[in-house]
Amino acid sequence: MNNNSSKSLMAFLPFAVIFLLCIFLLFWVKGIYNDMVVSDEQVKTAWSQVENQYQRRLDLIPNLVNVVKGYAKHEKETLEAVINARAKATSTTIDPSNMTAGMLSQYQSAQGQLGGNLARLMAVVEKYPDLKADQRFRDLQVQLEGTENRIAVERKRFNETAQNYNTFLRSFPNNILAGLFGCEPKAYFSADSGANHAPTVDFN
Amino acid sequence: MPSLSCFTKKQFSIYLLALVICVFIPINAHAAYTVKSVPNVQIQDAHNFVSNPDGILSAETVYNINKLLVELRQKTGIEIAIVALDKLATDDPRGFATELLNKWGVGQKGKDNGLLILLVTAKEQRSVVFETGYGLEGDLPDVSCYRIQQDYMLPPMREGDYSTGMLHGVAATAVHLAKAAGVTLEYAPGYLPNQTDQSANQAFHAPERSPNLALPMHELDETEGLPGTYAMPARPAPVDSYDDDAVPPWLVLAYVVGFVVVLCAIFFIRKKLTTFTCPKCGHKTPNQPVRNVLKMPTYSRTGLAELISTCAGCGYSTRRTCVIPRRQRSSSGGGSSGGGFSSGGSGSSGGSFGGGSSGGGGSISRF
Repeated sequence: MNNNSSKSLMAFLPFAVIFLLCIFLLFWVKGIYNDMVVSDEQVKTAWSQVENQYQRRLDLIPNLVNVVKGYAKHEKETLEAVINARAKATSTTIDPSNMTAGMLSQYQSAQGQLGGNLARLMAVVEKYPDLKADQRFRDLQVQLEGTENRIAVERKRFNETAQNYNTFLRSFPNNILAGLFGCEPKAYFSADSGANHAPTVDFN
Repeated sequence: MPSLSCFTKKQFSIYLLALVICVFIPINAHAAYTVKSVPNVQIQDAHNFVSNPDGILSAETVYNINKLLVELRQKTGIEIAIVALDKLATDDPRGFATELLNKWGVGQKGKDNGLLILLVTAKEQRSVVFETGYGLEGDLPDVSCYRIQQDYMLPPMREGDYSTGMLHGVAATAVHLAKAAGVTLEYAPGYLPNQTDQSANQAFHAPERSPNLALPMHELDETEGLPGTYAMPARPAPVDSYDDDAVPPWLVLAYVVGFVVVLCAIFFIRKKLTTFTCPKCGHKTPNQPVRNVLKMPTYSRTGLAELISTCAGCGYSTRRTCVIPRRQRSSSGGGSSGGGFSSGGSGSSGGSFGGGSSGGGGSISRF
């Protein structure tokens, strides 16, 4: 009697082991997948913050163009360049869920071009002391400078969040699962060349 | 037998190390600051919001600023941190201020109602920076920050009077924020430059309005309630006594060499003190005296112990008595609180900022 029952138990043993292994695997995969989701959402949030600040800059530009027009009618070229660059930047959007490095660099360069044109506009404004003294212009300049700073901060935070995500994705054993789920590493913002920053104007 | 004080080896090493460190750390008052090296004075003293390690602001100014900032925090929950430094290790004061605010967590967590005011006085970096937490960006937008800097802070600061400029700027900011929160402050209005419609009883400094204003008058329509601009009477330019930061390389070498020499000396002396030369056979034993306590020390009198050193070579042992110091009551004055910046705040306990954050809002005025 004893022999029979112990034999049947022994027969079950491999199945039990496999079953337990499957349970363990399930929980392990669940943990990693959920962590990836959390990290991915953080990247999306950070991205939307970046977009917000770039949008803020886009919103400031029409006012800026109007004020400059009032004093510097002959600088048509520079003003039009800014307007066109703004239109281009507005139309370049990214869906964060399928953001590739190429798309990000496109976005960054569109915004960077706008930044470059703004810088040129500011350089041109130097010739018009009346414009420089205009209260509205000075306010816009302050707002632009604040916006540039916010953009810089959010880009930095986006890069940090993306780095967390990528590191998590690429470390062992998560990288095996990442391939299975089709998770792609996120792209980073690269450093801007100096020409893309609006210069600070010294009001002394 | 002469009575020695019972220095244990450990005590000896600690005292010596402390001495060496004190001698060899070059105290450079005008070192360039990184975000990490700015002292967070709030930790030592909950009523101190002004980090002034280079002594740029006068003690009276610091006191007054703290007085009005404590009231502001009490009545509105808004935290303002003031930092006045000579020189930054970075050329980006704006980014520095953003990092600093977020590192210290100025402002209440969740509300993010913190403000950091950074003043840098080194010639190439001279500027005032406001960094606003997310929660203050509505009441204190970039333009308002800029106006406060230009109208209240820069005029005296251009002449070198950083204390007055900072006091006026902080007062103006506090008044502005209190108004937005629907609260009245007792101290802050007294520190504004013009006392025409405020209760002038607590006036700290009320300069005459000079008829020849050097600054263009702008309308402060968006920041109503703040008095207009004023011009300071001309003052002699301050002597630029801050040398360039470069430490000559030979000095660095001398310090390093000196440090190494002293370290070697310590080891040598220690070795000497801790080897026991047997008077009988001359054998040198590493000294591990057995310590017997003959009399326990109490709070009122010292104790007595004997040290028995035994030679490993011939077994000869000598006996020495030493004095054990009196026991100390631990509450008397207390040891160092670990920091070097205790403001002597009589009985004020440490505090901390609320854990707020910012996104880069604010403005900078270079001058």
